[in-house]
Amino acid sequence: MSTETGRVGEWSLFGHSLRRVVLYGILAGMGVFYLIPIETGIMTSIINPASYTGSFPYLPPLEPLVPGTGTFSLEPWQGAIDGLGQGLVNSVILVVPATIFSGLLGSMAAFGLTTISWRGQIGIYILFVAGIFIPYQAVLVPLTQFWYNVVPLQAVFEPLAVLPFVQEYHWKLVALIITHTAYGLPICTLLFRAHYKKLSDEMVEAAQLDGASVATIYRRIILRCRSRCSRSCSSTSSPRSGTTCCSRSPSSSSAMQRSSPRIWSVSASPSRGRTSRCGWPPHCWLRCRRCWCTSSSAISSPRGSLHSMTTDSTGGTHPWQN
Amino acid sequence: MAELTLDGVTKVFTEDDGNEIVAVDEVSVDIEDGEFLVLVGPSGCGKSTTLRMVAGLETVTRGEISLAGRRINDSPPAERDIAMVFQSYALYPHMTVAQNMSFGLEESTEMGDDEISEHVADTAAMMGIEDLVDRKPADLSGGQQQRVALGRAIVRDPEAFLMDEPLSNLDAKLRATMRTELQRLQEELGVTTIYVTHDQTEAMTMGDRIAILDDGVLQQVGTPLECYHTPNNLFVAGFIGDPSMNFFEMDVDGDLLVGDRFEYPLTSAQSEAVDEARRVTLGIRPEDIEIEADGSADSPSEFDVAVDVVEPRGDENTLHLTFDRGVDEPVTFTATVSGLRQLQAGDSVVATFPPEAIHLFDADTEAALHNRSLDVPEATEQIV
Repeated sequence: MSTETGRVGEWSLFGHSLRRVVLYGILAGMGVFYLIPIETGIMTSIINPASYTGSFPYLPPLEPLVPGTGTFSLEPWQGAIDGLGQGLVNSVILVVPATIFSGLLGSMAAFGLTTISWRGQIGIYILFVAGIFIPYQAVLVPLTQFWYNVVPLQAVFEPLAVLPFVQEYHWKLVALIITHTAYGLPICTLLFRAHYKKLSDEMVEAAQLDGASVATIYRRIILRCRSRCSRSCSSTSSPRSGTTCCSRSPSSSSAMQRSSPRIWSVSASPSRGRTSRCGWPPHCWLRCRRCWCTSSSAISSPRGSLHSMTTDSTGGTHPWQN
Repeated sequence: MAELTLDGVTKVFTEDDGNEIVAVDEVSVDIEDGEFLVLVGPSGCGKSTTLRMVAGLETVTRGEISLAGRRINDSPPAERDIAMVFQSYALYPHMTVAQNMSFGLEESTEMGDDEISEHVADTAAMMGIEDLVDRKPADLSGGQQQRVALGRAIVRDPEAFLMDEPLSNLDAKLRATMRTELQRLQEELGVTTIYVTHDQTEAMTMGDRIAILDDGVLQQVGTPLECYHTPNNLFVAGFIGDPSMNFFEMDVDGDLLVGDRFEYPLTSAQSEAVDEARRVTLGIRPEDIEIEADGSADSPSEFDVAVDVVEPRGDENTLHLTFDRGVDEPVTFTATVSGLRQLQAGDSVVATFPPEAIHLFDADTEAALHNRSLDVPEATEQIV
């Protein structure tokens, strides 16, 4: 009864051992279980809302061929694009610069707090880290007042509205970019600092002896060598440090992912009416099936490599991202 | 190229709880122009800290460091005109070999691109790495990385080289090759060099002079053979030489040294040197002990001993000898004999401690009271 894959004497099915069959059965079952929510979302989005009630949400719209499955329609997508189109554009305008700025500034701050040593840097670093723990709800109202009353950004921005593609309301996006940059900074600093600590001190010292200034060391050494650095350092000096999974964009977008939905929902954005009421995308899919794809987590474009970190920094991720 | 002077250089680290740790204590050395000085000592003795103070990577608590007559205590590293080779090589991993080597020239000189690439090409040719200039450090072997690190220091044509255990990451064979090569290079370039190592073989073979540090305190500065034959104190005597010198604690009784296991007569010169000291440490190098396989001890400086362990090294055998026979863990001392001598563990032999090869140290202060006589000075001079 021996087979190709099983051990001698084991029961087999179509040339595979029972253990394998059971293993793949369980894996397939778990795969289906995890994928059903996203499949349901996609199917629901192409069912005619009129025929939606009473149909099975996870079945494709096959009426009139199969009764009880709803009729096919792109109307929900039409509605979403009509209602959210402007919001999506605004999200891109907001997220791209904010991500770049907070990544860049965070890496600079981490460099200054890690590689260069000066008196009092631990205190400053603790202040940075404390920034991560400020609840956004606590600062929303003061922040709004800050942008309306303290900083006359609107007045400064207004003359720019004559430029092509610039609308007057864009001043709010500028305010949001600055706010998001500031709020993304602590987590970016934290992540970059973890990375910079792995860089060899001797390399920075060698650059110092070579005559490079602090700014040059940052620009020509630190900024240029990211994952490759810790790898080659580990091969020559310290075998314990491995490669790092952190690069600029995932770290900052993870920060954005967390801050975006919350501030977004109160800002005067045109897409406000349809954003998530749940507040936090990671839990959305459990509560309301339809809202997750319209929340801004979909815009923040999560990338494969960041999930190990989002788990740490936000306390939860979309199950289908894992 | 210039002379480098350390005058009473002290480094005190203050811990968070206010404790002060003296890492380097009043170290004074004059390093002549073009000299190769090896700074040697056990781990944690302050040798790297001393080097880092010269480089400008650590501040100097007290004392003065000057290069070419110019005080450099407060100059930033970049302005000291010093190049350093690190243990981990510290190459810039994202740059090619050529970029690694040209970085220093770009940052610290006004040279144009053509001039820089010419310098880099010349140095690469000198180091035998001209085929590697377009590769990244990660694609190089340890020995090649080592050459690049040296080339990066040499291309800057600095006043002084500082090397922090540059060979310790290489395998034994390559280390021996690089040792010779480094010596040849340094001689060729004639650049004042401080070389830090914990390896006494490197210290003995490479340095014009060695400076031995222990616990932040300079123990002795001298040529390798001076340190070997006339150590200042017990520490130097024990640190330099492999296998280490044998030490026996003895009481002084007139012209006789009395120890737990044997007695040893002093010559008149030796007892004069011992003077008032009551307890001394008798030291003798393993290669100075003469071993007779047959016969019995018939003079006061000959002893009947047993062979405990034989370590064959090919060219010579290291014998672990003991006065204690039939004891489980005997106290042993070492002697080296020719590799062709046939001796086995358990053999009884006669060990002779020749009077001229004896070192005597004060047991309390550990200072040398009497060093071996060098009655064959022409032999040492030829070597020097």
